[in-house]
Amino acid sequence: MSAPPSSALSSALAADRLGSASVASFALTAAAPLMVIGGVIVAGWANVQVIGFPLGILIIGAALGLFTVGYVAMSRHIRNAGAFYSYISQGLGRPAGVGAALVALLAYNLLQVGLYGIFGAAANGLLNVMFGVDIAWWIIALVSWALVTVLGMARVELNSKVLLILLGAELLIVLIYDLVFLANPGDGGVSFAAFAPDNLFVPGALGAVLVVTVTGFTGFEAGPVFSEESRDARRTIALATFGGLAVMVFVYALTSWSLTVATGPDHIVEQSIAHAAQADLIFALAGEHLGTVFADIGNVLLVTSIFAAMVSYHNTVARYTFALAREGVLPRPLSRTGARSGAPVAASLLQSVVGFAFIAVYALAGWDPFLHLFFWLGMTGGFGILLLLAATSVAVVVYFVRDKRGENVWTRLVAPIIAAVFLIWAAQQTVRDYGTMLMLEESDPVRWILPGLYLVLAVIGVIVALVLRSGKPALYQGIGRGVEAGQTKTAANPAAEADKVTA
Amino acid sequence: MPIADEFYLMTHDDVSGDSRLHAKAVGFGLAAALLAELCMLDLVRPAVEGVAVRNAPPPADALVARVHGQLLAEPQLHPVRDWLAFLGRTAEADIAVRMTATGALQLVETRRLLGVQRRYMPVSVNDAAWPTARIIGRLRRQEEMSVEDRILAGLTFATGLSNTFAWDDVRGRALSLVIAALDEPLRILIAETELAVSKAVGTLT
Repeated sequence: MSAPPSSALSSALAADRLGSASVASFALTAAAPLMVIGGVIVAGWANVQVIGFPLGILIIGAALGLFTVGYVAMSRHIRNAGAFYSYISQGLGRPAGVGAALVALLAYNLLQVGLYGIFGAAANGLLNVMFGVDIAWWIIALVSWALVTVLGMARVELNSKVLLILLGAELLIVLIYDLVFLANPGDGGVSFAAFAPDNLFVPGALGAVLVVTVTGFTGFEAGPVFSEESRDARRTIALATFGGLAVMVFVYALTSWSLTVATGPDHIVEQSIAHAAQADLIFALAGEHLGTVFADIGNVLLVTSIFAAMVSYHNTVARYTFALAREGVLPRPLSRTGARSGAPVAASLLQSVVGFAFIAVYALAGWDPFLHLFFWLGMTGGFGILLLLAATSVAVVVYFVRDKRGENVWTRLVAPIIAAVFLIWAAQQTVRDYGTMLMLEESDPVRWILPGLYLVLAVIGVIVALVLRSGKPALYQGIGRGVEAGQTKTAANPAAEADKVTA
Repeated sequence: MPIADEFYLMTHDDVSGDSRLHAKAVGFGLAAALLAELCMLDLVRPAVEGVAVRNAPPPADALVARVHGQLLAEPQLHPVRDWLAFLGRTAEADIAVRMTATGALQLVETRRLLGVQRRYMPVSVNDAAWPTARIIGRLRRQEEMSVEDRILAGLTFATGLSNTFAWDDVRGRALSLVIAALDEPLRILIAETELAVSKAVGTLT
């Protein structure tokens, strides 16, 4: 990377490395703009019933921008920079790291299984509109589940060029919609009410808006995973992460605002309630002005983007599980890979079993795929990400307090401290407003159970780490290394080494 | 037979010549095997800080001489994993060519609907199956193994190839003792191979 150009090795390897655009596209795939607006944000309007999501997007966007400053800086100094828990274990200690690892595992898991809900609901709506057939959501979800399972086992990554084209098409059609919405305002004028603080800082709603918005941004954190595969670890990752974030903020804020303009700010909530379950508000509105063809194109792109996000999250969870099993935090058999596919087959299979279980339980219990599967679990996943973001920014501060490592005050202190304070505050607001978000009474235990799962897991993680510290110190020392955890020991002590390998 | 040739046979089906591992693992494993050949000639020394190379007359074998030349041509030290990635891009094809020249493999062309399929197949099934059978047998009987055999056993573990064989009884303690008895440069080479393969699973590219 820092090698002079005369090196045949460096230039040959550089040719295979990723540029910023490729890295950013991986992040944006998990984000899927149409799904975020049409699914996440519209559902937010319907459930939280305040207008101010566009302002919330700007605020969270700014906070994540500050977060990214320290996040990217620390990624340059640590190994296994792809996962929040390596930051946390290297900043706040290994017990916190293991707790964070379990929190992350649950959070990404909930985000992934939640997607089966919206995929079922959205594809059901699309099939209804286009072919007039009504197929139960869970049948559709099971078909997608089977595809995801096969792709995960065979390690077929969706082709990055295809993803880029789909993403481009998605962004293009969203921008067309935005122009049309802004040109045809609902209540007789282009209103900026969506950005008015009064419409966001509503007691009981603010925390819900913040966590719904954070959920929409999930995936932006993927950049540092590729630091070793990127052309220039310093520039490529920073550029890709900030660039991806900027695209998200721009598209999400513009589109959500245009939606409020199209319906008129006073009607966005009722319109969202009417359309949320099929995730088709955006297409219904677009159809009024552009005709059904444009609406249908968007609807198809929504379904494909949800599918791409599903595959992406599935593989994320599988890799997370694989990495944790490699370092011995989860049972070692979960690190088993397919010899010929190179896929983390055991972890991938486990994730498929979890997905199947959720679909089956929801289908048998007759729970709503959109509200109870996608929104409840998805937002709870988003809340987990919020907790991890908060903990990671604290970890960044502590990490650089111990050693400056040549980073400046802004990078290692100011930006991460502001981010940490804001994110902790947002998490606290979210806990307070959890009931509103899920449309539950304050007395409903679910309102405490869902966020409380993270506390339980974090405590279990800390206990596991402390048990490992006394029982298997070598393994404990390796926590946070993830896929960098090897079982071949280079130290010369054959007898002791053999014990570790068989452990 | 050179280490890399034997490891080629181990990582490929003894009848069809199909790879038993995914492309990245084969590449890293065979690249490590080539570096191991240079280690055995005392021409390179893998270390934590990078692969050191000794200036000396080129070795007799053309492929090993070429790799030696590539190492000498680099103006600075590169980490083991960079060499594995670099050599891994072409190692499989390079070694197949060398083995075709010595008569261990043959290039078979099959006419297909579209174009011609070319593949390297073992000339003798028995010869092709021998390295795997020998390594498994010696591990199982816990016999004394040569350095070459220890390297092959280590690479089998590092690339995940040991998962494909039904030899649970020789995994674990026996295998790790065999690896641990190698000199440090070779242990580092094997450890880095294991990490490279693990990372290939853990990332998208």
